Amino acid sequence: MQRKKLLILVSPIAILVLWQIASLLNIINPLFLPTPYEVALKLVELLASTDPAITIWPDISATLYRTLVSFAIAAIIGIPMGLVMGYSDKIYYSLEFFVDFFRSLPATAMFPLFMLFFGIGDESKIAVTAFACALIIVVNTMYGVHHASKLRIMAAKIMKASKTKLFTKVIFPDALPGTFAGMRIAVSLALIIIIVTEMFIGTNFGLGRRIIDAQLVYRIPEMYAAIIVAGILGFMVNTLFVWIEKRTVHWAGK
Amino acid sequence: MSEIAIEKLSKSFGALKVLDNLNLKVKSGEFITFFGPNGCGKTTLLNILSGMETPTKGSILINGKAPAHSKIGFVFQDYNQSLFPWRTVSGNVEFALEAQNMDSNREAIAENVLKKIHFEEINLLAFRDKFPYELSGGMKQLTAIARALAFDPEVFLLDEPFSALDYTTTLKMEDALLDILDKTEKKETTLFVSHDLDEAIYLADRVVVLSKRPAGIAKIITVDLPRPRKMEMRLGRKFFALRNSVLKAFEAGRK
Repeated sequence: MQRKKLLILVSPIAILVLWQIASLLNIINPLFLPTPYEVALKLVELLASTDPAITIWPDISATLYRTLVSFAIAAIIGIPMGLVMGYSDKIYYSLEFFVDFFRSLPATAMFPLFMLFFGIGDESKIAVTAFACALIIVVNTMYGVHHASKLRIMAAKIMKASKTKLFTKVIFPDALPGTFAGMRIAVSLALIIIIVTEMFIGTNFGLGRRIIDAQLVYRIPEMYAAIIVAGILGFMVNTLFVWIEKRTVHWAGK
Repeated sequence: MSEIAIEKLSKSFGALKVLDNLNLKVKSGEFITFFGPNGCGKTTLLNILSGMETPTKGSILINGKAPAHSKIGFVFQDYNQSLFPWRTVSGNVEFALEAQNMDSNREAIAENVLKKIHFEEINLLAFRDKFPYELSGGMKQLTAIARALAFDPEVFLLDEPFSALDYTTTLKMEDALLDILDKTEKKETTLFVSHDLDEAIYLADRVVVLSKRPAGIAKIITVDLPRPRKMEMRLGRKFFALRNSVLKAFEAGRK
């Protein structure tokens, strides 16, 4: 078991080795691909510096804040909507087209539209992200309800459970693994969209802005360092979510 | 104390006739097993008894009331799909009480029921905080039985509850079930659908043999074996004779 866990280090080490070889052999223009050492040095500087012009922490916290707020709004809207759509065929058929259409429409295509209504501040970034994420949570929660065990519902009905209890104590928990699967996808998607909006719509702080600014002025090691920070952030958010998921819907798949 | 009166009961789904003119009176506290060919309508009969379906003709009355207005304890064949996996053993049992709006003493009632259930000397109470996925198939089905008995049903219905279990476990489960019913204060009126000939005889006061679809009653055979039932009885002459007459009725009804 211990040995197997160490295997997680194989791919990052392999990437670093290949990167170092590529740098040493000058296969790629060093302006576009600095050495791992240069990038590591820049990364440490961004994380350790107290100089407001250098530190990356305000960008991390701005991106994280927007991601989590978007995700929370998406969950608050998406879960009840998915439950209702899963439960009632009438509501499902009434909303099916709306959900499927906007789910197929790339969220990025709607940036200008959301900017029109919500301006260029945090509101438009959060709104467009929450919108795209809510749709994913709706669909997965709805599938969760559809896959709820018919026998459990029947058992509860025979025990004379009221409609409210049937919904809150049987259908909702039975749909929860689906809801969580949707939220896991949504939390990763939220980070992706937020970073793109930061590049496109613009902002004072944010990892997306940091990455694109560094690229525009050819501070390439800084660009790589900021990308790595975004990657680590995404990985941590996802890992934390999986951890919560396993503890909450502990029965799923068993 | 409950008495069940099935009168001229017929059920059709469209043109498909499933039950045909069933008449049966079940005494309070009696243990009835239904035995019949596959797909003859046993499950439909239980669904009507549990109030999930309504008869096309005729009636079922439980203490003079329709099943939809009676307290029914129901055990399904598929325990994995019928238990609540997000609740512990004790939580599953308590659900029955929550559904009935019994808000006080739930824990104590659940404990009392679990205490009565033994599987080879092991008390189910020892597993009260386990989740269904942590238990064996037999233990899961005993949890479902505890849930069905917890709210003091007027009728206790079981739909082939042991058919997903292996033979050895099934034998133990049959003894466990009879043991539980012995320990409940009031004698439960029990209707048990079985597709196993020995099981149908071993458990029952009377075996109701159903004919092929549309199912009618082919024969009712009284099992005059003493209680408590013992494993050795399965080997005796009497059991053998009962087996013969049930099988004869089954064969006649199958044609």
